[in-house]
Amino acid sequence: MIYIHTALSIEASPLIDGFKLKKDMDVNEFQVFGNEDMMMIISGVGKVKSAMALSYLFGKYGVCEKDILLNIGYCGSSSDEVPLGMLMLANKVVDMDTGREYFPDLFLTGYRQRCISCFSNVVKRSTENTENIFVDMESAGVMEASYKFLYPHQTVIVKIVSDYLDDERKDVSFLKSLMTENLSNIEDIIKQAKEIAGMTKGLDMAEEYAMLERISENMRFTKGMMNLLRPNVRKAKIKGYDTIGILHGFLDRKSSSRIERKRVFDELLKKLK
Amino acid sequence: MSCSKSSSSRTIRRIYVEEEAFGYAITSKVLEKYSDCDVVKIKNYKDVFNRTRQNFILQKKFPQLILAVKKDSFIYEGSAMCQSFGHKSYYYATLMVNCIFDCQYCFLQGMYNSSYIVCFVNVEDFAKEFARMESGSMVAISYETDFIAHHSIVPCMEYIYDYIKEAGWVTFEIRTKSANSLVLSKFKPVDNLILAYTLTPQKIIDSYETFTPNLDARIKAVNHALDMGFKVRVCFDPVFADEDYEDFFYYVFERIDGTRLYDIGYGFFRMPKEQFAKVFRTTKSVVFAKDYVEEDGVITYSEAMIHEASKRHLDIIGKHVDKEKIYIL
Ligand code: SF4
Repeated sequence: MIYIHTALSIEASPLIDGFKLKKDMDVNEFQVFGNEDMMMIISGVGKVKSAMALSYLFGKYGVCEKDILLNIGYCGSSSDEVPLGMLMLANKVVDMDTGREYFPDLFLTGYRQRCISCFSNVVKRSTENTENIFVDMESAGVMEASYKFLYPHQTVIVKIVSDYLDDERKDVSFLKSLMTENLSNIEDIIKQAKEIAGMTKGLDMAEEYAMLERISENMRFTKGMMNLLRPNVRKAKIKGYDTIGILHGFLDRKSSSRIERKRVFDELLKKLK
Repeated sequence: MSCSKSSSSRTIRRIYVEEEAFGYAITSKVLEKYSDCDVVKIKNYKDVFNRTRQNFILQKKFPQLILAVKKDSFIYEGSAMCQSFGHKSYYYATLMVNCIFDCQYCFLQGMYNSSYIVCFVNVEDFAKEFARMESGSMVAISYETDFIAHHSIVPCMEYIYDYIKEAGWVTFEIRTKSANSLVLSKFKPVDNLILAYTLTPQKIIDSYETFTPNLDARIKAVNHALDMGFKVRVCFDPVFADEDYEDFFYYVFERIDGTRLYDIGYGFFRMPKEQFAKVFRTTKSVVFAKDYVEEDGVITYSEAMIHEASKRHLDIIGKHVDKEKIYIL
């Protein structure tokens, strides 16, 4: 699943159109949109709301190693030499309230990488020092949730420069256009992030373990027996044995006595070794 | 290895630098060399290195470098699983942690949360500890890494070599699988420095190692180091008792004059139980699916297998190297 987090509807709407997402009418707590492989939540402004929304999303829909999370939103730049609409990925996020630093494992290529400073309040250029910084209000909350639920390579913080921390109000269509113009970049970022998450695919033992549970129920294997069987099934699979076939041969076996149970246990273990 | 924005994953694209590390010579040299890298300033390397839920295997595919300042514990006492090679005390120093090579049996996996390469740039603080060490000690300074293999990334040897020379009463071991002999040409052999080359059958290299040089290249490197006058140790470690090694030993000693070697290290695959269990949860490697036993909290081969295999192996090794020079663990 591709999880997308935005703070504002204005950030979300070009993505909803671009990825043809439909609103999930069953969810009332947040605005959630999705299709078969994408789910987007609009959290509202701020790191607390962001962390809360993502915890909600992951709690409700679950999360696995192949999933990715993108925080897509606008950021301010303290330097007006940076063009509006410039897209960057965060290689570091600093929570400016606590000083805590977060590090996504960013393995994507082809995009500028910068540190994002996450503030709780709106920052004005005049009130800050002149060091060139990029500012948002959500990334620290996103990273906090990410550290809890995901591996650091599963999260990508995507920021698009929308202002220079000044009072100039940008109109809605201009802001939307900044996002729309970056849609193909976002698609590419998703593609790369998915590829990278896909590289981590471990040994899928789900089927074997489910079969082993069934055998155990029939045979009334003890906890100790199961503790021995599970790693041996895994080892057998690593060695390239037909583990499904081996376990299949034991699915209908039933134990009538402790002696029979021990006999079947030994037989299964032998086949796995 | 280069720092590049290219799509090849085996390039270091990012260097995390601790704020304190900026003032050190190694840092300047590395940053100058990799000027097109993404440099991320960090407060403490542990904020990156010790994050929970990192994917060690994936990070191996996308290696990144961390430059940090080590605050304490410059030297550790070697564990019972390490070879002391007859020295009265055995220590190791972690000037660098983690490795650019990728061996399935590597003991570093399961030990650290991250496989990013950490280089501690305050070499002089390590040297102060070396200067305090008692005579007759041995320090492995390439213990949790491969110094020589990393030379093109971080030239640690250049910074530590003079300190090694100064602490003449301490023996230093640099263990490597690298075949990069060019590195050595910059340094003169010194009496208290041993270059330890790990040799492995080509079949094991092909099956369980990635990015390491092949056996012939390593043998060539051993001979080159010997020709240069370095003390050379050859390590057959880890040995896999269920694999064929006889032809390999013959092959090695047909090409290396055993009498020129300083000594030999020989040991079977072993790993602390908890570490083994941690790796086993995620690995797909056959190394972790072999039939081992647990001995005093260590996963290794059964005594019978070790006895049987070592007899065959040591018979061959003993024909080429003095028995007193063979250290067995
Ligand atoms: S060369 Fe040594 S330290 Fe490097 S990956 Fe292989 S076993 Fe680990």
